[in-house]
Amino acid sequence: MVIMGYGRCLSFIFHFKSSLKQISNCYRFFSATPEWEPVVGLEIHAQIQSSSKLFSGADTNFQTPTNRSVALFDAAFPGTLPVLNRRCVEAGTLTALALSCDLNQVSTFDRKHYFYSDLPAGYQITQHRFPLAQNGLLNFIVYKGGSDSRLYEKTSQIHQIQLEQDSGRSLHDEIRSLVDLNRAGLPLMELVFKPDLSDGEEAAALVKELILVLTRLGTCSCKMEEGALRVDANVSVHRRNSPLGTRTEIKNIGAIRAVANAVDYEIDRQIRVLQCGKEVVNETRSWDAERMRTVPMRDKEEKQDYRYMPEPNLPPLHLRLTNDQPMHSNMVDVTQLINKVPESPFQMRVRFQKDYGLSLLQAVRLVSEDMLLPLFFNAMNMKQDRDAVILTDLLLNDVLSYFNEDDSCNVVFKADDMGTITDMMKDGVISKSIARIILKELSQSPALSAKEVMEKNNLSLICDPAIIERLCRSVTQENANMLKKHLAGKKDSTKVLETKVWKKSEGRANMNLVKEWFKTNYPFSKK
Amino acid sequence: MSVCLLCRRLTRSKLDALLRAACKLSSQSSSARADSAPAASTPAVDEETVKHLERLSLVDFANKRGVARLEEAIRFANRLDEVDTTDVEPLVSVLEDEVLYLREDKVTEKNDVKVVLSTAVVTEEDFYVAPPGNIPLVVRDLSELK
Repeated sequence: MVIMGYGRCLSFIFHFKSSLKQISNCYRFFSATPEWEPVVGLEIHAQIQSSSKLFSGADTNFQTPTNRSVALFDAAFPGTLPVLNRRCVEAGTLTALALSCDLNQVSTFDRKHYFYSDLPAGYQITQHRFPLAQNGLLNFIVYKGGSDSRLYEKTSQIHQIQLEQDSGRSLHDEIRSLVDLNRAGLPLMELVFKPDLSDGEEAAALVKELILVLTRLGTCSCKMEEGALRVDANVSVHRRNSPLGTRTEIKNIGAIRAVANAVDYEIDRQIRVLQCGKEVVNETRSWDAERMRTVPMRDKEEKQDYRYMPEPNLPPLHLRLTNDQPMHSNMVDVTQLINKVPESPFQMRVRFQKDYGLSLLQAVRLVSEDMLLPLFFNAMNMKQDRDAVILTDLLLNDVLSYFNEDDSCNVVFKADDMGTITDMMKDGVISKSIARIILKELSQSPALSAKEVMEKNNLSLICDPAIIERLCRSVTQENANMLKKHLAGKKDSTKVLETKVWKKSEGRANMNLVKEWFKTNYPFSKK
Repeated sequence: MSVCLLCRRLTRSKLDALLRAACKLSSQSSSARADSAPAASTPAVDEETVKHLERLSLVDFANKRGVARLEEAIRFANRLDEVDTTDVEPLVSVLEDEVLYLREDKVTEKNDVKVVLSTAVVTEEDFYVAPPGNIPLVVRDLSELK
């Protein structure tokens, strides 16, 4: 639950890189050993999307020049007092509701003391004793690749959600620190998860799901590269049927992949330490992405004493939880907010499978694509009995790549066209490859509709038996040798010949008719 | 003002408990004066504690006067332990029944970097310049304290 300035941790990494050179590298993988059980819990700091800071009226712009977004309160000038931002309470509440937390009708603020130059007051205002919300849940889907790939559902419990301030940012060199307070006082919500996970892939999947939830709620941008979402991972390892082991905490992991890698590395490191008969030291570590390892961060000789005390300058924060509570201008009205919680990604996945017959994998992929969802919804709303599986495949396999390659966001697809293409594929009017050609045209000339593109380029499938006959004949003539072997019963060349017909027709031949033709005219019988 | 406000805000049970505690304290106070506290409550500040506190606070006080002052402060604070606070809910703030004011999410502060940096001794390109992190103080021999 410790916050660390962003820059502070970077320099630690830098510092430890040099000391690492002396440590011999004997890193091996032990994850497969069944006797060890890893336990992983995450603490995630998410910056609340707001215009002004948590307790001051300074702006939250990420890119202002050094010390340009700093109110006197953020720099801890004497006589300044904290004034809580309503938006931050609302965002925290909304997030808590979306994660099925119990909201506390009254929550309080505390001071947590650290002496760092980027924390000018000498303490961080956080919620220690009575946080905003407790006891939530996050359901997510874990995908494990590799030879025994599998997809499974997992739940992690949320211990609590609390509002707190971010610290400043410091850049270090040998002899001094340069401190920028633009970050100081930015609103954070810290989500403390219970240690329910067992490896890096699950941890990464949890973070991914949380990002989906928060971005859909609009309570956090989740731009990890800007430090808007930072992950701390608590990792310990113990033998099956024995008490939990000593844990270490990996701080400030700033990318989803890094979460998976850091946790898995740390699990392996601890197993290795234990197998050598040594003990895991309770310490704070950081992830060095370049060298793919965790390194110790702070000296561990003393346990940190935060000397928590109630924040005397902030009376308790109240929420209006039920209708029989009187309205109050300084209470966030939860009875209203609850209507603003959108369908969760989890519910959406369940619905997609149930209502549209999508597979779990399709549902997982579709739900995580913000660009595709509106296309999917609109196309399905226009025509309820549309084939959602074909539509989803079209969106995920073909349309998505246009959005991914399109950095300038110029490409626009219309739900109408997606629906038309889906229907034509379903009815056998066009093939997958023609669908691709149509998409390409549409991406270049957004004024046209799918139907117009087809007519303009004469793209519908060739279903005229006479034309099919002609195509097949010419292919068999061009491949006389192959046909000879085929007829002699030595080698079944039907597939190859069919493909040649398909190519000759530029992907427009109705392949069902082509297959039919070969079956009738050149049936294969092995001799 | 504060006493009046405090009394108003205390529930009867809290008030009773407080009064009880206050009576108890005053009956003992003649023997429990700070300057003549019993030996048992005299704090023993050893070298390790001094070092630890110096690091935590970044305050340099490892001299006879500094330690004496610390011990004095501890003795002073220890008197609070003499109060029987059983069943007394701690009062954090006299405003504990108030509803915290919420401000609209608007940027109201001008970014005046000159004012923000005005109290800094050393600056560079609008950064505050600070010592390099929470580095340990130079570990000195504190034997002269004994």
